[in-house]
Parts: sequence; structure tokens; C-alpha cells
Amino acid sequence: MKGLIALGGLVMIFTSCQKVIDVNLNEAAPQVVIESNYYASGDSVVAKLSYTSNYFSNEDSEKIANASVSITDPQGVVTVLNNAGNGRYDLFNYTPQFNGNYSLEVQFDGTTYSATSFLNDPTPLDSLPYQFIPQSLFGDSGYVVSMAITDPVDEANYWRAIRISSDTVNDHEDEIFLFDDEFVNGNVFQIPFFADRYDVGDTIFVELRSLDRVTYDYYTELISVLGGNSAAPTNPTNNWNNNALGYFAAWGRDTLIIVIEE
Amino acid sequence: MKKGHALFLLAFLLGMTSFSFAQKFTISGSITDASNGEDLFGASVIVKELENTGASTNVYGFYSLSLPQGNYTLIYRAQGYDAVLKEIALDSNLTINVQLAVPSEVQEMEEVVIQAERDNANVTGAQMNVTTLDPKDIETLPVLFGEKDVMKTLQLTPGVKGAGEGNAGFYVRGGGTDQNLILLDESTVYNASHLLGFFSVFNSDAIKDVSLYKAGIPAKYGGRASSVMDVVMRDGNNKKFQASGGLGLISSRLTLEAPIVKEKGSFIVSGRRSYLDMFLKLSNDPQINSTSLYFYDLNAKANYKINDKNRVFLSGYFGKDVFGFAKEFGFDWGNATGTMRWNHVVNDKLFSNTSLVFSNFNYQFTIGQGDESFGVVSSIQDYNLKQDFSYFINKNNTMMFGFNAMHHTFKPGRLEASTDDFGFNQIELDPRKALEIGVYVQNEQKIGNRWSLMYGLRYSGFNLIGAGTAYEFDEVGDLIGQRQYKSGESMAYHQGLEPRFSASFILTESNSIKFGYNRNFQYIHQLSNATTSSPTDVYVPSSNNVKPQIADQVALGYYHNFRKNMYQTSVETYYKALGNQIDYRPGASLIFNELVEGELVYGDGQAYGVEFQLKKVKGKFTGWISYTLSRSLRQFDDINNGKKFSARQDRIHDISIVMMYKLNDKIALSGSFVYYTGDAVTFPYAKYEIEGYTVGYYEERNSYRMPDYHRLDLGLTWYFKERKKFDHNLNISVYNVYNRENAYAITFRENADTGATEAVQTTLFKIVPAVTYNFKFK
Repeated sequence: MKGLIALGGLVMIFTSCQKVIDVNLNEAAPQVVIESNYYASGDSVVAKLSYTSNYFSNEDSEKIANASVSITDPQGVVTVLNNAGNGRYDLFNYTPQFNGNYSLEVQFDGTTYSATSFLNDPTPLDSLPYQFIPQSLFGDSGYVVSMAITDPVDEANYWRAIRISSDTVNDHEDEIFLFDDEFVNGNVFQIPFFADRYDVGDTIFVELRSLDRVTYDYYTELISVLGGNSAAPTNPTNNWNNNALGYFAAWGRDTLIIVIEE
Repeated sequence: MKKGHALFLLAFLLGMTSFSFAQKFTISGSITDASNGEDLFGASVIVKELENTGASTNVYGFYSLSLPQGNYTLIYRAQGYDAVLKEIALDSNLTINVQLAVPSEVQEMEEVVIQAERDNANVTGAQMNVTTLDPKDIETLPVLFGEKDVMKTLQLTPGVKGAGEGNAGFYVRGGGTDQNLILLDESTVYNASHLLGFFSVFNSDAIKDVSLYKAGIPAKYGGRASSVMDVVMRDGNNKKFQASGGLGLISSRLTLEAPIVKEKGSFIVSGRRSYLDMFLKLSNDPQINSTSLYFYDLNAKANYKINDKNRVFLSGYFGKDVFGFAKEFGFDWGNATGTMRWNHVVNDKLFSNTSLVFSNFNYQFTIGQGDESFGVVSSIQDYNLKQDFSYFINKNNTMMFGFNAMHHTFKPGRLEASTDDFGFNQIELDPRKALEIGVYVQNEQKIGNRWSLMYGLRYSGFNLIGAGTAYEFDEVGDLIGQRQYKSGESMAYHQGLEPRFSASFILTESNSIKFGYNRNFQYIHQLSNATTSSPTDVYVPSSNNVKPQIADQVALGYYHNFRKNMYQTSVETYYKALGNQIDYRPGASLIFNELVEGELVYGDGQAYGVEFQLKKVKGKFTGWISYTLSRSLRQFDDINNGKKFSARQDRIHDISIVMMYKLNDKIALSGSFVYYTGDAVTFPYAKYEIEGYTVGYYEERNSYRMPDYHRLDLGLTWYFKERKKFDHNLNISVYNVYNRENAYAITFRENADTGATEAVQTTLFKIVPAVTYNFKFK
């Protein structure tokens, strides 16, 4: 698809132009947004509550500071999150029980929102093999780093990889890099960070998050909405009831760090 | 379905008018153009002594007429040609082949006409809602980059709308771009555009005529829900060698044609290539100057008349778009078609056409090169055997019947990697095979002086054939089961009866009312959920999950000509109900997805509208004004909370004005203007943040509008002094004269500097001038 856009771009270089325009967008009643994660490997739960804001507004969104937020573990034990102010609610030293459902419940203004996420055992990162790639193909010469993963048999797995490097050019902390085991079920396989080139001496930190299906689908749809090329963008399907936006995800991770050597 | 009823009705209607006691004889033959031997389609023969008696030629130039014994004067005529009179004493069956010549002194009067139509055929013919164009008629019209294009001109006629700049395809009466059957010499063209829709694949030099059926579609056509665009290639000059061509800014073309055996056979070869990428070579940037971007196409056709009863044709098209970005990325796609055809006059009343047709569309892209590359290849391939008969029963009845069987092979994608270093599994999506069949019968009948009817029935069937895997999905699209089929096993069978009906009632010579009804089934579907269409759009056949699309359309029209048929006016209304329409789940991934059927949701659509046209067909000043008021809506349980929403092509108002003015022998001026309501689009209602990304909040599907589109193009053609052997002209055109910045896309983004959210409009073409030089060696 990228090539197609490049092709379109080439045709356009002759006459095309872009400009910022005014679009009259309809006013919508503010909607509730709950972005929440249980970072199981870090024993912490964070929920951020806000309202949607006018699309062209330059102000910060209105936060929801008067809610009560609680999390329920697979045994049904309810723990209340601290109200940290400015719409943020958090909980620390909350030890995970893997392979179980966690629920987050948010109450305010007489409405209760709840969402459930399955906390999978985090898939281990076996290693971060790297390989020198000469110039010409997909960019400059340099080292391409891959993740070596042993896919757990008999279950569907969904992952998100985050990489942070000492080389700022290849720092993709906020990229949403998703993959699943549809084609590799039960295999030992490698997933490369395809577009990145590293030099000797660079340090790369990789975090492999094991997501549940609902979170994976949420991110997939989020990417499609953010991409801007969809003819019919919609709100990503999520696990909240009562039409709240955002998501609740419980996930664990494994991390590795390497330094590229000659 | 009431199949029995329809057949009974057919027999009854035929029987009602076909008995007669006087002995009858049949006159049959062909009508051709005297200058180059091309068949004339729709030319007519009229009997001077008998009122309302005559016949017209079929698409191969063949006619047949039965009359009682006697002496007659036959008038052979076609629009734009001198009439020929033949006096005959009819006491046996006769074969009369006639050649019609263009008047010796150039008659400007006839310069712009719908080819070979009787002056008032638009009023009196049974067929409604058909638009026919001859490339000759539009050669002076201004077009983008000066590339004359029949497809672009058809989009200026009522009810037909281009999908927009930078988009391939067109919409007919609220239907989707994949609902148009595009035929080139009977062969399906899957992707009719070059350079992502900036040009059509039809090289005007090689084309005889184009007919677009919007309603009352004849029973011989099937397979698409909304319309049929039938493109016929020229046969080539069978009298003498001729070369013609043109040099343009974007591309050049050359056509050669000559007799194989004089008056018996001829060939034509027409080629075209663009050289847009030559400009890129001028760039200093190595990435840009090593980029290739071009298309080419080649049309070839040969025909040979073995004798009066047998004629064979061979025609082919081959075209490709090639794009390479530096050495890192290559992308090309193209169509290839081939048609082998045998015309056989079984007897003076029965005409047979047998065709064997091949069609292929494929695309591939490659990333990297040599040892370290991977690529995706995808294709659709068809073989079609067709048998059509025209049976000229009597002067009031012409029957068409026949069948076809088309074998499809869909290869949705094969991923090939030259190395497994990157851990790719080499993957091929299951190919799909299907057999699509059609059987039809149709009769055109005149009843008295006022009624013309066309009624027919088509049976179509679609058999999805193994080997393959059929998947079962639950209501949210998750796989819940699958079944393996062996090679040759039927995986799914769909079928339907498609009644087709048109009637015209002539009020006076210059006034008529027409009615049409048609039902069409569509068994293969194009998937595209992006704002722009692309050659990589996936085609899926009907299966256990995907049901055939069904379109039912009724149309009613009033036609009026005045000032001796110099002006034609029409008002047509239609209502179209679309069943089993396809849309997509949120975030659906359509490309390279074995389980793509799980991403689909199904719903209904409706389209209705009224189309007005005023057309001036004779004189120095010709052209038309058309206005369409229409809606196109969709309803899906899974989309927009089940509420009705506008289809993207729901353009409420649509105006086209086309003008051609012949100033004198040297100069022809032309202009066209279009205006339409902006496409329905989905924009956000509000925003929120997720992980630092600004995300749009959406409420309703397609509830916003793009800005209205309008554009004026002007053209001037300068004809140089005509020589005996050589003829040339220069065409200057200006696209988008007043430099309107029409929106190609509107995107929403966060400004990198200020952090503010803003809407950004992309415009593809501002004002674009072009010059084309055309020549012809005679």
C-alpha cells in the first residue's frame, strides 16, 4: 500500500497541492473516554478518565475527577484505585494472577462502566538476533534486529512489540507494532524490525507485550482509524459497556536488551 | 420463479403476429462503410412501398428482412452516410450486400451524431437508457492531458458519474464501481484504468463504438448488477493501408490498418505508450530519476471473410502499468484479453456468432531485488465460450438466444520471498475456481405502428468448484468451522432467473414513452474499503458465505425530438433495489487475508432518481445539457446501528454541459462543465486521546459531504489543410480552466508544530493545459 501511495504521490507532483481548510463539524455531546491498563509485570494499574472534546479545540480535554474506580481479580477480590487527580486513578504493588480475567469498574454521575480483559502468561522473548544487511534493499546498510519467539502451542497469541533504542532515529516507542501467531502457530519464529538499521554500539531495548484478543482487535482498529485512508472510519470496538471509548487491557511482558557488536 | 409463464407469454406473443398466407421471401446481407469496409451496426433498410417496414443490422453488420413476393424499392441508410436505393423484384431469397459512403462534400451537419442511428431512433427504439458513443464524435472534446477517452466522455452523460479524480471506475445510477460489466470485444475487462484512473484502458483510435446500458439491459448480458459497457474494436480498413496517430504530452499512439486480402479481410494494430517517467529522468534526485512510471497498451484485431456465409475474427488487447520506485519497489498490473469469433449465416434468417474469449487481470509487487526480495502476485483469469443466435423471424420479430459458460480462476495472492532470513513463511492464499453460466432468450417485437417491445429471460448459475476450503463464521466474523472440498467438487451453487423487459409506445413520430425492467445477478464482488480504489482491490466469488448481489430496476422515460430531430430531449426516472450488498467490519483487513469472508457484512441498497437531458445533434453547434437528481442509500444491520446511510456516490445534484462548435473548416471549439454534490464521507464529530494519539470520535457513517465538485474544460482543434494523402490537426485543451481546487481527499491531522488539530484538503489537478498533434496517412 505504501508503494501505491508513493505512486499516487508521483502523479501528484505535477500539479497537486494541499491546504488547510475549514470544515464545519457537527457538535456531539461529550462522550466518556476510559484508557486503562493493568501493567501486570510492573504490578500497577492506571486509568485515565476524560471526555471527548470539540475536534478543532486547542484546549485540553475535560477530565473526570469525581469517579470511583476499582479492579476485580480472577478470584473476585475488589481493590479500589487511588484518585491521583486530574482524571488519573492508579494502584501500585498489585500482584498479578496470570491466566485469569480482570475487570475494571468505573462509577460516576450514576453510571457504572465496566470492562474485562484476560491476563495471559507473558510469552518469553528467546533472544534478539541481529544481522548485517548491506545497502540497497530496504534502506541503508546496517544491522537489522529480530525478535526470536517460541510460539506457545494450542493457543492463539497476540503481541505488541515496543522498542526503544539509544539511536534516536530508530526509536519507535510510540509505534503500534502488532503481530499474531496465525501463520506461525507452534513454531519458533523471528519477527524483524524491518525498517530499522542499527550501528555497532547501539543499545536496543525490546518489550514484548502479550495481549488478549479484545485488546489486539482494539489496536488493529485504532491503527486503521489513525491511518486515515479508511473510507468508513468507526470507533474501535472495545470492551467497555455503556458506549465508553478507550479500552481496558491487562497484559504482561517480557523484555530484552542488547548492544550491537561487530 | 414463473419460468413457465414467461415462455408461454413468449410463444403467445410470437404466434400472434407471425402467421401470414402470402408467400414470403427473405433479403439478407451486410451493410458496411464504403471507405474502409467496417461493419455498420444499427444501419437500416427501409421498404419504400410499405409503411413501417424495415430492418436494422446487428452488431456484425448483418440484416435480414422478409417480404411477400413483389417489386420493391429498398432504401439503405445510416446516419452520416448517403442513402443507397435498390430496386428489386422479389421472387426468391436474395443476398444483398451494401456499402454506404460518406457524402463527398463534407457535411458539417452530420459531424457529430450518434453513429448510424436513425434520426429519431432515440424516440422509436424499444431499448431505453442506452448511450452510444463513437470516438470520432468526441475527438474535439477537452480532456485531461489531451488524452481523448470514451470512458471519460460517457461520464458526462446522465446517470453516469465518474468516481472522481484519481479514482478508477464510474457509478451508474447509484450502483458501485464493481457493478459495471465492461466488455472489450466480448471479453471482461476487470480494471479499465491506467495510472490509478487518470486514463481508461480504451485507446480511442482502436475503438469503433461504445454502448452503455443503464436499464432494460438486454438478456444476452449478465454478471453485473448495475450496467453494461460494451466496447467494440474497429475491424481495420479492408480497402487500403492507413496509418494514423498522435503525439501528446503524456503519451503517443500509432495505429496501422490494412487489408489482408482486399475487401475480404483486414487487420488493425494500435499501440499507445505514456512517457511520464521521461520527465522524472530530468531530476537530480537519484531516487526520482531511477523511478519508472508508465503504461502501454496494444490493441490488435484481424478479420477475414471466408465467403458470404462465414467470417472469422481474432482480436486482442494487452496493456500494462509499470511502476518502479528506485530499485526498492516495483509494482505493475495489467489486463490481457483475447477473442476468437466466428460469424456464420446459417440461413437467410438465422445468424450465428460463436466466440471463445480469454481474459486475464493480474498485479504484482516486488520489494527489494535479486536474492533478497519478496513479492505478491495476484490474478483473475477467465475462459468463456459463447454462442449467440439472431433469428430474424419476420419483419416484426427478431429473436436472440444463446448461452455462455465462463470459467473463472481467482488467485487472490501468493507471497514469494527469495530468502527466509526474515522468517516469512511463504504463503499462497487458496485459489478459487468457478463456472458461471448463462442461457437466454429474448425477442424484439413491433406491434402495429406504436408499440415496440423487447422481452427476454436469462438464467444464470454460478458454481464454486473445489479444491478448496469453505469457512464458516459466527455473527461477529470469527471462524467457527471449515470444510475441505476435493478437486472438482461443488462448494456452493447460486442461480437465478433474470427477466428483462423494455417497451416503447410511440405517441407521434417525435414523442414516445418507454418503460423498462431488469433483474441482474452478480456473482463476483470487488472489495475495497479505502477512500481510493486501487488495482490491488480484491475480487471474491460468491460462496457459502457471500451471496450473489441482486439488482432490480424499473425505469420510465419520456422522449421528445423537435426541429426535425435536431434537438433530442428526454426525462428518465428509475428506482433500483440492490440486495446482498457488501460492506466491511471495522478495521477489516482485505488484502492477503485467507479469511476475508469473515470481514464482510451484508445489507441492502436503494437508488432512485430522475435524469433530464437536452441534446442538440445537428448543426455547427452541438452538445448536451444534462441534470440528474438522485439518491443512493444503503442499510446494513451491522453498520451505523442499522440506520440507513448515504452511499459514497450519493451525489444528489449532478450537472454536465458539453458543447462543440465548428467555427469553420479550420477551427472547432469545445467545452465541458461538470458540477456535482460532494461525495458522502465520514468525518469525526469530536476527538480524544489514546496513548498520546489524537483519535477522531465518529457517530454516523457518511453523514458529511465533500465540497461540491465543479470544473470547466475548454478545447480548440485546428485542422490543417487537408491533402489527398495526409490529414492532420492540432488539439489544444485546458483542463480546469478557472483553476478550481477540487478536493481529492480531506484528512484530519495534528499539526506537528502547533499541536492543533486541522483538516487538510488535497487537490490533484489545478489548471492543466495540454497539446496533442494528430495525423492520418490515407
